[in-house]
Amino acid sequence: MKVKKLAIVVFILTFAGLSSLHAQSSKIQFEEFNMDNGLHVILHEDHSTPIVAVSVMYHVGSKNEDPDLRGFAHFFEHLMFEGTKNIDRGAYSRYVEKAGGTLNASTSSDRTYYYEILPSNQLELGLWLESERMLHARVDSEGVNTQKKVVIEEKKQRYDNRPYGSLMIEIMKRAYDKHPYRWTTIGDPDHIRSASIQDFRDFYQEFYVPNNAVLTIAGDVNKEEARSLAKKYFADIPRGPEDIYRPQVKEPEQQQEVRDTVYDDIRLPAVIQAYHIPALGTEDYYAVDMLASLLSEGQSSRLYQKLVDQKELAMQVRLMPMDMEDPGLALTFALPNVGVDPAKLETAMDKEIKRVRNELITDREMQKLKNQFESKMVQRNSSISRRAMNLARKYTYFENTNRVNTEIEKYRAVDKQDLKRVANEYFTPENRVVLYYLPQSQKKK
Amino acid sequence: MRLFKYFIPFVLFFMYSSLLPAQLDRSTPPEAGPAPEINFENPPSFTLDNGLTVIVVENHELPVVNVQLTVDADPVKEGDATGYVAAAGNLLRNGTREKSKAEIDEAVDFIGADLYTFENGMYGSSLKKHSGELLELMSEVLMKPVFPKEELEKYKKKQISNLTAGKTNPSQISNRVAKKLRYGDHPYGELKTEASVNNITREKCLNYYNTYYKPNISYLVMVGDIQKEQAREMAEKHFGQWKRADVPEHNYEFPKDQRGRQVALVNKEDAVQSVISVTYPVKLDPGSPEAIPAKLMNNILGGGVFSGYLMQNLREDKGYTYGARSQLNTDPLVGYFSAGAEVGTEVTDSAVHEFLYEMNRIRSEQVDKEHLELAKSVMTGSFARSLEDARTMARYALNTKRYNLPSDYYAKYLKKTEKVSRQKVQQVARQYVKPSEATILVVGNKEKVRDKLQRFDPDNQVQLYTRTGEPVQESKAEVPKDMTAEKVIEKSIRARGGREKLNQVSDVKQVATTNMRGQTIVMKTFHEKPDKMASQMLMNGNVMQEQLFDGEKGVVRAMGQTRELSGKQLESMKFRAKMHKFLRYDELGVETSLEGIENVKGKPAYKVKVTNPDGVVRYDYYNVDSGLKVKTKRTVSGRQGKRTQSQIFSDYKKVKGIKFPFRIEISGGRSMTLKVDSIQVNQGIDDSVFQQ
Repeated sequence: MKVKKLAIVVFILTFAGLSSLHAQSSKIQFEEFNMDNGLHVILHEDHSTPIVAVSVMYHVGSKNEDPDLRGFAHFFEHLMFEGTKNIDRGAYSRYVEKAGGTLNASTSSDRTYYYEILPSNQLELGLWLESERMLHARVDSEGVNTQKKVVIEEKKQRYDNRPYGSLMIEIMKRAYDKHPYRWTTIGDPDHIRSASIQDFRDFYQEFYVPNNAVLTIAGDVNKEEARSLAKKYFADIPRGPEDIYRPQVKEPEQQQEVRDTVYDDIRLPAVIQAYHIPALGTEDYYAVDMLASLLSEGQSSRLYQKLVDQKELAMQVRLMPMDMEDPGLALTFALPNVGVDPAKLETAMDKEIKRVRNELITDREMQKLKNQFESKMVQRNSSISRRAMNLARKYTYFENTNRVNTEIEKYRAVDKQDLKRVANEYFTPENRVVLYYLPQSQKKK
Repeated sequence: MRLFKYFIPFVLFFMYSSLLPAQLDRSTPPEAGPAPEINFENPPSFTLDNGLTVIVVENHELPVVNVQLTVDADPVKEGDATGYVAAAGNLLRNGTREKSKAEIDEAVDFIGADLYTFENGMYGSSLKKHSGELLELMSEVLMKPVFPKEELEKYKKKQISNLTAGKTNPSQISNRVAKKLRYGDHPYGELKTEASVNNITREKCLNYYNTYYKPNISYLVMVGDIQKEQAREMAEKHFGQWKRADVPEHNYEFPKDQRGRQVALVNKEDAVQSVISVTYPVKLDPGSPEAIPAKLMNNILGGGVFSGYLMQNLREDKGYTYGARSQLNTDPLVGYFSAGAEVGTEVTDSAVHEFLYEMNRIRSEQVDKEHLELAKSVMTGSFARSLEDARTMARYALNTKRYNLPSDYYAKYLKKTEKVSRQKVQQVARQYVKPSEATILVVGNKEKVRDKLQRFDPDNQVQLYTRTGEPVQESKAEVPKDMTAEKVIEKSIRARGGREKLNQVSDVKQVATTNMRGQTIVMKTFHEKPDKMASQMLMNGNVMQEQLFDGEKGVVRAMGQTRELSGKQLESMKFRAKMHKFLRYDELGVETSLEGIENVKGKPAYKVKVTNPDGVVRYDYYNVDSGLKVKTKRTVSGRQGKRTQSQIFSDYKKVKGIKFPFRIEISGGRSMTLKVDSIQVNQGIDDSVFQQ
């Protein structure tokens, strides 16, 4: 592409004038429709910057994998850049970069997300690229063999060769016995290495179909044009099988605490507590999310104040609920200061958990939480690409896109009693996995 | 490939497609519509009476206000208390004359805001309705900090824990050591360590704050849902009382940047990958006319997401790594180049080779047109996207002021990018991409990678460093007092089979092979007493090059050209051709001296300086245990200046009771490994071999 041909004109225009029409309302306006082939399309118009985000979220993640083919969903994410029937190997990203765009993808346990962010005149290019990916991606041995090597190096870089890098793998396999959350997205290099081309083709035909996807177009576009163009590129993609594999496994309730130690190439130990919590979108999830903030959001939060500032037991502590489609975990990750016994740190962590189980929080704390979430809800939609992703997620998990706008109500509805109740319901010793990461030198021979 | 062969107006194309949906041709990408305009304006700025420069970027998309303060002080040398400047910054928010740290924390969190203070600056963010309270807090922590002693102690404890946690993180180790190797004595090269953190005192923090935190060298950037006039009022109100004062300035020498290529290794025993960083300091000011072309050039090499040379080669072609990138950083004092990746241990040396290959390639080959256009589009697109975030706009405005950029620098950014030619890309590549001046830093498993990395160092030396960037003094074995060069050489003679056996040698014929760009090359050498010598290089049975000396006359033949040796070259040849000179150095007037013990391939070896009668010097290395010669090294002058050539000998095997090396690794200039296929001793050599 030649920039000159596009005749990019740089001129001066006051920013205030440009954007003062938009406003204060943090509600996201959107339209949506279904195609006959089952593809759900979400359109969001915003003209403040001349860019467009085109994205497709496939409702497939590592939890949809065959237990003998772990890591497939993530491997596919790599393979999907290799090319299609009409796009040569390596050319996929070149089209986007030539057009002045950027692209990437990510895989979680629940979904795989692809996006291009392009200058707004390149909307159609984005749709062509994503439709190629959905219709006839190239699944051949050359691409598969290269990406096998790349993914195996990715695992080494992110999990094996990093202190605490194996954390999620170690937690998940102890927290889940039946549910496929017991393995993580990176999967098993042996499964990836030994997989055949046919395995990959089967996976593609089952999951990369319009009736398992959400197309989102967000940014500086005309909704009607976007609608027609979406139809042009996606309407004739054949619907896939209806019986897409969705594990209906319910993880049996954990009956007693799971406690273990991992020895790693580290100098500083770590203490991790993982509590089973309800799925994203349930009433209790919002209360758990707020409880997590009470405990670790900001330096006045309870865990930070007690463990880091007052007792100086920890260098860092953080409690994060994982936003998973099926019941997930709330992870507390604490790094002790040098010389602090991890057991002593854990006792102090437990004390704070006991406090929220036994006592109601103060009114002022409740108000602080509401203020924090009000701010968070505004900031989480700060860019076109984040809005596109949030819209797609809400539809994929709940078939209710408007949750992007109504979720704040769910948080507002949470009260002090709810926080105490969920603390007692989920933050119990029987319901958790506790993992100590210790230096290899402490391993008893 | 041309993407936009046919021009079809957007609307027309659209109608056509909706009339005839079945006709969709998926085989070619669609046309782009008319390009959107990219708007950029310099945001307004003003200066308060105390000298504080205020920049305002309005963006009313969300009801949010961000405020950033930057103190633009010259770096100072922190020496054995490195980390105190950062400590001073961090501690600003940990106690004021009016509030304890806990009170500040509560005030920030209660309004759902963020407030960070750090080395020479702070950042705050909140909803618009709380921005008054946020600014008040920022003003308080900026102007009334007390640096409580107990907060400093807490901070130090956390810093030491943090350093401890990072000790086994290979990319963190790499970043720290790279910094130190790159910048040397410059303040940019100072590393925080446990010892230096322990040396931080409240007085140092306080002094620094009192000396450098002044409005006349600072910038306040206000971004978001705020009007300019309102911003001015708030800035006056909250920062107008900040007192101006002269601030000391500091100048530093540019780090040594002509130091030749070196290989540095940090050992991490259990590493399954090596972190590679090819790096050196660069003189590249942000405002220099070369800055934009250089950035574009770096995008082509390794700055882009997928299309860079490095990513395509190391990831998409070879599968060595999850990602390979390069950075070319501009800085008013010292910038840097760094190319790196985390690669599988077993491909470490192959990956280094590819890094150097791509760095050389961008210097020697003009980028093709398509790739240049792609890189320009990437830069244009990324610039356009960056304008979505008001904080980026603010950063651009701040850069313009801080680095004295022309006021239309960003407005003209796209035009300047568009203008860069292929020639210009190559010119800046030659200027800023310097494979021969780079430090190749590897953090990985020493046992598995060290030997393989030697070939990248002109001296065949891989210098080991600790995880904090201190050179490791390796087992500097003491030379035994009674050891002399003569004794070392005598020992080597015994090790090879003894003087008597060596004296009986009258001729040697050796055939060796090596691989060069996929071709097998055969090297034959003939040596006959007293001083006849011949060597031939053959490819596919044809002689490519040969050198003959019959004791009196010598010729060199290459590519069909014959040249007779004369003068100095002939004299040198006469000397070189003498067989087994080491048996009679005294008689030949060769001087030797024992220089010490150095490691060769990780094993201690005696280093002997050998000076020929004509003054030419070389160094021979003899393994301390076996006595055998394991290496020879000399410096030669060529068209590209001086360089070191070396040969490493190994795989000694006996032929007629005498040991010969069957593997010879040659480096400096063209590197290759010779594998000896056969050696024949005293089988007689036809005299014609030595004649022209």
